[in-house]
Amino acid sequence: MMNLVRAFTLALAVAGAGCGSEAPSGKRQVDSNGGGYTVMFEPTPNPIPMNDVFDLRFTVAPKSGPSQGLSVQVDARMPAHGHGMNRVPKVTAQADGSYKAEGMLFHMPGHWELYFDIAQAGKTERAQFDVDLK
Amino acid sequence: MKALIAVLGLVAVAGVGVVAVLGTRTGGGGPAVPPDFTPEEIERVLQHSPLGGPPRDSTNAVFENPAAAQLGQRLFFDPGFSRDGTVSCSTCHVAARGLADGQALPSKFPVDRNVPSLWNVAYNRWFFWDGRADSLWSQALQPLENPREHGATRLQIVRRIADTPRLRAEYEAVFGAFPDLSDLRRFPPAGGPGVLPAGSPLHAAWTSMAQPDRAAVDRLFANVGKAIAAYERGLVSRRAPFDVFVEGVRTGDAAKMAALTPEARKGLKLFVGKANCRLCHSGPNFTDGEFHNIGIPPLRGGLTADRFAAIDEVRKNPFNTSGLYSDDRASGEKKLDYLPRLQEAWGQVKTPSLRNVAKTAPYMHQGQFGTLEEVLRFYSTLKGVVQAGHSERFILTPLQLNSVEIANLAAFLESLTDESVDERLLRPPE
Repeated sequence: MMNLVRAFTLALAVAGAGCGSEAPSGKRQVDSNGGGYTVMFEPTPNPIPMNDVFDLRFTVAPKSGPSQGLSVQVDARMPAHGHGMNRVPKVTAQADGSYKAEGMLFHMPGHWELYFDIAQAGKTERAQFDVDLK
Repeated sequence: MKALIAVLGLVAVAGVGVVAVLGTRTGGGGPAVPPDFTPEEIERVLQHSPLGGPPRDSTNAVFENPAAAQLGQRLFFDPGFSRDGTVSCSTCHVAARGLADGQALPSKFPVDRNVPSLWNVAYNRWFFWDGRADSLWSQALQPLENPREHGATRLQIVRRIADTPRLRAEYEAVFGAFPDLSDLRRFPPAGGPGVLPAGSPLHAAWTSMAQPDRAAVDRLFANVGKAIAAYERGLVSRRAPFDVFVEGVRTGDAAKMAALTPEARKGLKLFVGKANCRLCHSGPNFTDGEFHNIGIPPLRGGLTADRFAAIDEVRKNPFNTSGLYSDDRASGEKKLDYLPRLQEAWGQVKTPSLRNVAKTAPYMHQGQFGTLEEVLRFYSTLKGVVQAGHSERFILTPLQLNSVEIANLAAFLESLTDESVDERLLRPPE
């Protein structure tokens, strides 16, 4: 699957179409900082576009314990700029156990941090991705 | 995850398509990198051209209807939609002045914002300097009723169409039969809601109307905005010397690459490099369409909340894209639902497009700078910057450009002027 992601990313980069997009090295899977969950996501469109709306489908897999009763929030910031998105995405649980975050938009090129904050039973862990927009 | 994999499969097919198209266009060799540019610079340059057509506006059912555009053009140039019969949209949006008025602040009207150019206006995500309208048709309505601009009332506006045979005929050809407004008890000659003081006679004339009659007038009024928006969608600038240069880069055509002067090429390198203008002036329309505070000292009126206050205004506006008069309320709801009231929005104004920028002096939201060189000198030194105490301070650092670099950047900005304009759009229709 990653090969497909890379192939498409490269194709877009070569075409130089539109407004730029995510650098091809972007990871799609990471463990949360407390080690309790593995988060895996796919953006639509893929790769993440520069200054255009995108959605995320993602899964949150607990290392142990139930996968029910999780509260998940998604947000993103540009640490070097000291600001985040100009929008608040909406996260909804899907019937297949995955989640959807709708209404994301990274409006500037540069380094973004993408956060998935997972709360369960009073404890919150963060899974964090780096996204570099060209 | 199965669904995700299926989606990815489709995307991969699309990706192959992109490669195939590119292969025929460039002979498989990819874009040519001129010797004075690095591959990374060229990759960034390609992000700025070509500019496609304006995006669809599903909230305006007639956004690409030619008859609506012709009606809108007529309305745009008609001074009959004003309190004293002397003000039209074209009073301030003057073709010979870059579809702006050439003044820092309009001398004729007591407003404290520079008249924005209408070139490429239909590409915006938000409208006005502070983004207090979420569609072009909704934007077009506000100056008509603003007592500091056209100063017409809603009933006068719809009556102007009802009583002008050509306007009425063109309106009916686009939107269907015009309602009968002849009963002056139901539809007074003048009056409206909006900014009029509550209790004034013109306001009372409006509130005395039955709700269904007010709604009928509101519908006509919204359609005025939709026709004007259909016209303004044609005000497009996307074939400048810079675009010819990029075509040359994409196809390896040296003659096309010569469309940029040596000075403009050096300016372009600065634009995507040291000066980093692309941070906000991104993409083929040279704007992110979003809001920033760059700390320009106000010309008059002190610091203002701008985007911070506009977020509430756009939500409350009955003519917003999620409201009753939107032709796609679901998409409007989506746009407005995600909109937070961020503290950092205080004092932010919208990044303007740079296409045709050499024609639209003076610059900035209050016309603080008379020339492109003055703008570039501000970014170069940040002299006099007013810090609103928010995050933009992380981004803005003095560029410390020398006078040659400023001249080169200005030369590049001048290469964004498109002279291939359909002159018929710049005057009232026949």
